[in-house]
Amino acid sequence: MKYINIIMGLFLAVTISAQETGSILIKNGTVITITDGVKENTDVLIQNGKIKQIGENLSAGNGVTTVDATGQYVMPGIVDAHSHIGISVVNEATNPVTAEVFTGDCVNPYDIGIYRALAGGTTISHAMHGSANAIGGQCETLKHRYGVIDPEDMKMQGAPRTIKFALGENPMRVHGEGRNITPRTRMGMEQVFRKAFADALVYKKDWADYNAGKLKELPEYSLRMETLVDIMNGEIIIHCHSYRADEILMLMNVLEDYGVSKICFQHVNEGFKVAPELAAFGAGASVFSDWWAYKFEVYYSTAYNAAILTKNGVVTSINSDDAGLIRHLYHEAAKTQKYGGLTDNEALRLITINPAKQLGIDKRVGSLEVGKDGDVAIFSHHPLSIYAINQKTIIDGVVRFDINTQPNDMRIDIDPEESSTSFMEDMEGHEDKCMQDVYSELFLGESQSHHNHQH
Amino acid sequence: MTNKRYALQGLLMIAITLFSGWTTTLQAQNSNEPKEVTSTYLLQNAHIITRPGQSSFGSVLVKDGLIEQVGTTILAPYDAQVIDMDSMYIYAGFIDALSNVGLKKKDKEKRPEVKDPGNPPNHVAGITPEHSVYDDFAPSEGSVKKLREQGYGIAHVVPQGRMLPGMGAIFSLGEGERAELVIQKEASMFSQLKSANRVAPGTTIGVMAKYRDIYRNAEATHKYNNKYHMNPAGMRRAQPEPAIEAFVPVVNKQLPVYFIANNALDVSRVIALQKELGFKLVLSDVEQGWPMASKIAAGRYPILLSMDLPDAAKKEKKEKQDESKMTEEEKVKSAEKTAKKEAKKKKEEAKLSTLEKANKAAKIEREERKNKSIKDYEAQAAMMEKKGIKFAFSGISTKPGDIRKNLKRMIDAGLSEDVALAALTTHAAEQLGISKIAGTIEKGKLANLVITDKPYFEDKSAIRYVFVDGQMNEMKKKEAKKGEVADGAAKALAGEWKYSIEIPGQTQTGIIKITPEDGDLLVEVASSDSPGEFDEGTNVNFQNDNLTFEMSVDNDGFQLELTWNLDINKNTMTGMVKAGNFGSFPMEATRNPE
Repeated sequence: MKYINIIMGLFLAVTISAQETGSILIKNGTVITITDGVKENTDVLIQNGKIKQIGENLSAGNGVTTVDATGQYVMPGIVDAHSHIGISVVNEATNPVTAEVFTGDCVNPYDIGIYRALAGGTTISHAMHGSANAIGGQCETLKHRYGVIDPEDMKMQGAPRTIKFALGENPMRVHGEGRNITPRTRMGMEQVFRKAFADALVYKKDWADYNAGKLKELPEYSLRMETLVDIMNGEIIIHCHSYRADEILMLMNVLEDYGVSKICFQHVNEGFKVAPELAAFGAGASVFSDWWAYKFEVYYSTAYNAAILTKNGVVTSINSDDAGLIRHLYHEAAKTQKYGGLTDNEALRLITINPAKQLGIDKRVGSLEVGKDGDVAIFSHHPLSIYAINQKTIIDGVVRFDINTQPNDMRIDIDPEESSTSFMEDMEGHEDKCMQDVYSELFLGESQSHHNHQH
Repeated sequence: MTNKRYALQGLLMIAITLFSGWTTTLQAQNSNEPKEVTSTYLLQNAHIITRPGQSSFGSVLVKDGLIEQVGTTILAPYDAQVIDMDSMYIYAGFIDALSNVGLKKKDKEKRPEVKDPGNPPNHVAGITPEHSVYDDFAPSEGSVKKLREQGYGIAHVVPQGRMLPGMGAIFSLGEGERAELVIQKEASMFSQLKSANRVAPGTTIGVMAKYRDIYRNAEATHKYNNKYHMNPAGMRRAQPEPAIEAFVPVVNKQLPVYFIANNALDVSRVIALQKELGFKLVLSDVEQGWPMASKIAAGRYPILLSMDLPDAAKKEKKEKQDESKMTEEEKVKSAEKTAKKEAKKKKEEAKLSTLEKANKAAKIEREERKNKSIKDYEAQAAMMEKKGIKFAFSGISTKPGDIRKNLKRMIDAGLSEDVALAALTTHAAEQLGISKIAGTIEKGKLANLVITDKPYFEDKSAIRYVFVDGQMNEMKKKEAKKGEVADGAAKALAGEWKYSIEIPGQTQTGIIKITPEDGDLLVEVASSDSPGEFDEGTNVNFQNDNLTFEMSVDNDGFQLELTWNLDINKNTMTGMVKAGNFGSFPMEATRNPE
């Protein structure tokens, strides 16, 4: 029962803070830097959470843990630009525009999904609002410091603000079909965005006038409008759930009209059709490797999407959007070598530096460079090999996953009245999906199992 | 736990239709009840726990609702009723720091018909901060009596609802009109992270965003109004918005916000809101606060701990018989039996696959971790005490009948009795700002007293008197010795009984569940109209094969006392149910085979 004490100790040791950093020396591995080639027999020294040195025959100070990575592969922690793990709520599905809500308000650091993601080398995920609304909520970028107790400690402090947008069938079904309000069609979708931005401009002007003494009555404060104004001020990166080429072009036109440029399209299954336009706009694309046909608007798809986007100069990433897929994003990246012939480096960029760019955190993570965060995954084989098994995942120099030393049961918060006795039962109702928390009757009779796959 | 419908509603409804003319007569009778003979009581020869950690032996003189004197020897005034306490224990009346006592149980909510779920009216969204619980409080509600019988004299009552149900008020739990009982009318703003029913705010994140909106608007309104009062020239009058205006005292930190935060994550979320907005926060009904203890201590947040606990860990069944009472032959047989069992177990285990073995081991580990988790909940109060975090108790989610039992579990987990008592009395009084009138036994304070035959936290101690505002409530001592009744009664009564009551025009059916519990009999009744929703019987008595108990049924403010009188003959019961003044109805029941 020793390990239980360790875990319970963690729960009680509330002094663990976000600033908890560690020092560690990883010896003699094949270091995949992403931005500076692959270095054989090389050491990586992390000191107080930051990468201090990358080179040969490094030595660390006294008391610094040394890890022997001989024959193993050391790569930057994997970054997932689209996920829903580690939060208690995904969709505030009550309105087509809910820019005021924020997934960061309901971070759940006890979600076992975070630990499972760590087991796949994923150190950062973008905990997104769902796709029920045209303009959904603001999202949180999480660092997978599993073991911390305070939700604040799971957040990646300093990461830019992001917000979820959604196009196409999901918001049309929830609001149009479900409630008979706009948007019911793709034409309506465009008007929702235009009206939201136009309203926000009026709001901004009202407050400016009021503060200048030109308006005689008090305008209403609206967190929703404040957020939309912040988007137009370039303070928030949009991550937009999208599939079809026509609506992707539509949104870029809308954003251009309102002077918004920071956007990454999510899913973007027809991105291959508008890759040059995406590149020209400076938009990112975060895609599935080979997942489609789960609803009508996702039929026109190809596994070559990531490769085509990459070759057209679009900053592209591969995401999970799923608590299961997040455990093997390195396999997902490898598929682009079969479909599209990407190089090792191009393929690995899809799950490291590129998603970091899309989240605005590439100055800190996404590659192994001196001065960056000490976020590292150590694999038994090359991460693009089907034989690769993650051995250790390190965040800020602290080992958060270790395949050899950690117990099977790594749950933190145990329900004192739980009735289930197996881990599979635990998973029920915790799919961490894109349409989570959207009331079932809005799906016009579709079964629960069906809309679990509404991405 | 709260929205339980009354099981005997059906019976009541029929009774009302049959005898509806009686209603007014009944109510008229209630107000003609005789007044107490005297309002002066001298309680002699008692252990007086004047405040947690302080006690003396002597007398307490109660006069006109207040404590007149506390001392070793007090001469009885001419008009005093003298009660010899015979070395009983007198405590200050308990204070429930957060409660729904005296509120009607809410009907099951219908799904609101709102055209645009994104913009529901405030009352559908659960946003009514302008509402005062004073308007909801009904002293005649059975819950008031139930809580009073547990020793409570004062409760901070908050309205039921969702995100912002309204303002709380402090009430005396004595008998009287609402206006006589209220101690403080608008004492608090009550808040929860509870979302609306399928309209905005539909989730926790929606609630938190809405909370910011309301707060910021109240802040802006407050500034605007101040400006307007200084010089209204050139300004339009602010348009009335009751919800926003009601929230202004929160912005001004005049009204404390009692925010429900049951688990660790909610505690952290509520603290995050407080840090951002700056209101006066009281963390309320906290069940799992220990993971955030450092944060709570650092922010110096006042905190109310819930008295609700998860079900206790199951005790292992006693399989072995007492060997000392066995003959040699029996001992040998017993040993053979055990050996056989072991062998069988080993054989079965050998058959298991590696996966099955691993699953079995994992199952045992899970059970252990679950039991450890239960212990953590029990130890929360002790842990807060050790960390020097001052707390009071809230009973809003605790059944009155569980209070003493759960407090004992907390004490067994390391909570000191003094701090437990303080959380029921002095700390609660301080938190509510009523220390000058309640919380201790001192001259001049309200005569709210709890009197027990043994120290309150001791096993099998019973509350014998509760004084509220100087009014005496005497608890009936159970006729027979508990243990003796329980053994006989358990056999005669334990189980589930199917009953039917013959009411003219209809037969009412349901289930009576009888369980021996801690030397007591727990009688619960559920009508077939709402199966599974049991009501508890009071004043349960079992003697000479005759079972009697009472039950208070309440519907829309109409109260009906049911008195059950049943004769037991093995597996059948026959008797009568008296329904207030509506008459008695024949009843029979048969025991369900186990």
